[in-house]
Amino acid sequence: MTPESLIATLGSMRHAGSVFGVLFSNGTEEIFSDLAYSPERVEVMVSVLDDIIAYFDQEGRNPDILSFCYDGGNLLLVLLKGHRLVVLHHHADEVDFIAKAAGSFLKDYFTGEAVRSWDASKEADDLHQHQRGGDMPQNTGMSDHPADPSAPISPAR
Amino acid sequence: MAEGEESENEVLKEALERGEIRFFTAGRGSASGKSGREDTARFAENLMTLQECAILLGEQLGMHAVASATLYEKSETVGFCFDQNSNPQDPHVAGGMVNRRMSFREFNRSIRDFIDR
Repeated sequence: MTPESLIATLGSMRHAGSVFGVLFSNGTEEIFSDLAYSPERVEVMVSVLDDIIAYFDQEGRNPDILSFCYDGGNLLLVLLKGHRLVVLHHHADEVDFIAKAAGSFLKDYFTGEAVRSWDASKEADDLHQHQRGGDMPQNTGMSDHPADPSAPISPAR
Repeated sequence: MAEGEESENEVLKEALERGEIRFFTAGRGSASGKSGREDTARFAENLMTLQECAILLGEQLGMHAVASATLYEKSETVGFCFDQNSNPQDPHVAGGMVNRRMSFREFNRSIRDFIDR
C-alpha cells in the first residue's frame, strides 16, 4: 500500500457514516491521524490506549477488537501485529460495518507490507547474486583480470 | 461435586455446544450467572478490565457515561451493558460471554433483551 492509497483509504473511512476520527499507528509511531481533538487530548488518549494494550500484554491476553460505547460517542480499537487503528464514531449501530472496514484495511495494509518486504529482499538477493557474480573471478581465480594479482591462477588444462 | 454445580456445568456445556451467550449480572462488587463459579469468575475479571478501560478512555475523551463495552479475543466475544434502569448511584450491569465472534450489534441487543426480561 502506497502512502497515497493509505491516506485515501483512511481518509474515506474518516468521512464515512458518522465517523469523526481515525488514528492509525505502529506502536508509538503515528502513521495517519485525523481526529477532531486537540493534540494534547490525542496525546492523552494515546497514552491511555498504551496502558490498556500494556495491561492486556501483561496478562498474556490478546484481544484484537475492542468496542466502547458512550452516551457521547463510540470508540473502536483494532489491534494487529503491533499496529492499532482507532475509529471514533457517533452511531453505535455502525460498529460492525466499521470493524469490517477496519479489518479489510489492515489486511490490505499488511499484504502491501509483505509484498514490499518481499520485493526488498528480492532486490537484496539480486544485488548479492550480482556481487557474488562479480567476486567469482577472484574466488575461483578464473578471471582474465583477477582483482588480486597475487591470487593464484589455476593453470589451464 | 454438588448437585447445583453439576447443573451449572450442564448450562455451560450446553451453551458452549450451541454457541449461545452465557449471561451474567453484576452490581455492588459481585457477579452472578448460571454457568458455574469458574465461568462467572472469568466474566467478573473481564468485566472489571473492560469497565476500567472504558471509564479511563471515556474520561479522557469527554464521552460522558459508559453505555457498553465489548471485545473479541480469539474466537470469543465478551462484553457488558449498563442497566439503564438501575440507580446511577448503585449501577447494575449485565454482560455475556460466547464462544464465537458475534456481531457487536447482535451481542449488545441480546444483552439488552436479557436486561429487559
